[in-house]
Amino acid sequence: MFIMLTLSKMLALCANSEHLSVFLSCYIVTFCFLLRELWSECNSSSNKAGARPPIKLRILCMHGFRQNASGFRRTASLAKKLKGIVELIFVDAPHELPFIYLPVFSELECSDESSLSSQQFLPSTETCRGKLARLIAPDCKGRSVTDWKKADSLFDPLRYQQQTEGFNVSPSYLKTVFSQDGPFDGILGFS
Amino acid sequence: MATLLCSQGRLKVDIDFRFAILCAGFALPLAEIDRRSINCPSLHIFGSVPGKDRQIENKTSRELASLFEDDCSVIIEHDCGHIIPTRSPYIDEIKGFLQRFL
Repeated sequence: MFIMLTLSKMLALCANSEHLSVFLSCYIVTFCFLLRELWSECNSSSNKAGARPPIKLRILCMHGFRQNASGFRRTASLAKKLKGIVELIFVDAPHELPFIYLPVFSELECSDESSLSSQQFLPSTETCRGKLARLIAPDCKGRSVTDWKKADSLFDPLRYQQQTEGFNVSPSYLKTVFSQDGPFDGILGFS
Repeated sequence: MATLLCSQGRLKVDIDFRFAILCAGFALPLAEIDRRSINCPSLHIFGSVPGKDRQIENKTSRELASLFEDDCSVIIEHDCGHIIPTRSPYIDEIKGFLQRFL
C-alpha cells in the first residue's frame, strides 16, 4: 500500500511528462494485478482443508441420540489414544430433547399414589444436562422443558428409524460450524 | 447425518472435508442413496455379530457402509458394544486409516 501511495505521488508530480505518466500507470496496474493474485492464492490455500501440511488432523465429532458434546468427549477416549495424530472438536446438536424419564417398575405397578411419592424417582435436575439429538422423532413433544415428565410408554429401541424431524436445521447448523470453527480434515459421526 | 454430509449432492450445503468416520452408523430414512454411490473415503466402525451392539444392529451399519464406494471405504467390526473401541487391535486399525491423510 505504501509503495502504491508513493507511486501515485510520483505520478502526480510527473503529470506534465506524458511518457513518464503512461509508464507509471502501466507499472501500477501490473503491481496491483500481482498483488491481487497473491492475495487470492493466500485465501484459497487457507480455506482448502489439508492444503498446508497439517500437524494434526482436525476432526469434527458429532454425538449420538440422547447425548451431548461434553458427554461424548468423556465417553470417547479416542483423543487420548490418538494423541499427536488428531485434534477432536466436539459439537452439540441443534435439537434439545424433552426431559422424559421412565418410571421404575414399582412406581408403574403401585396404585396407591399417596403411599409412594413419585418425587423420589425423579432424576435430579441439578446433575442432569440437556440431552440433544441431530434429528428428533416425529412424535417428540414439549421441547426445551426443564422439568421432568413421565414417559407414556417404554422407549422404543428402534425409534431412530423414524427420526426425520428437524432435518433442515442440522445441515445448515453444521455449515455454520464449518465456517466458524473449520476447516476440518474429517468428520466423525456416532450412531 | 454424517453420511448425508458425505453425499453432498443431496444436501444444499457446501462443506469441505476429506474423510468420514462413521461409528455404529445407520442410514436415515430420509434419503434414497444408491449402493456404492458415495465417493468419500470412509471408516466404518460397528459391532460385529448380531447382539454385540444392542442399539444399532450389525446389519444396519453394514447396509450403511454399502452405500460408499468399495475402494475408498474401510470396515472395522468389533465386539465392544455400542461404543467406539479404543483397545488393540481396533485402535491400530483406526490409526492406519488416519495415517493416509496425514
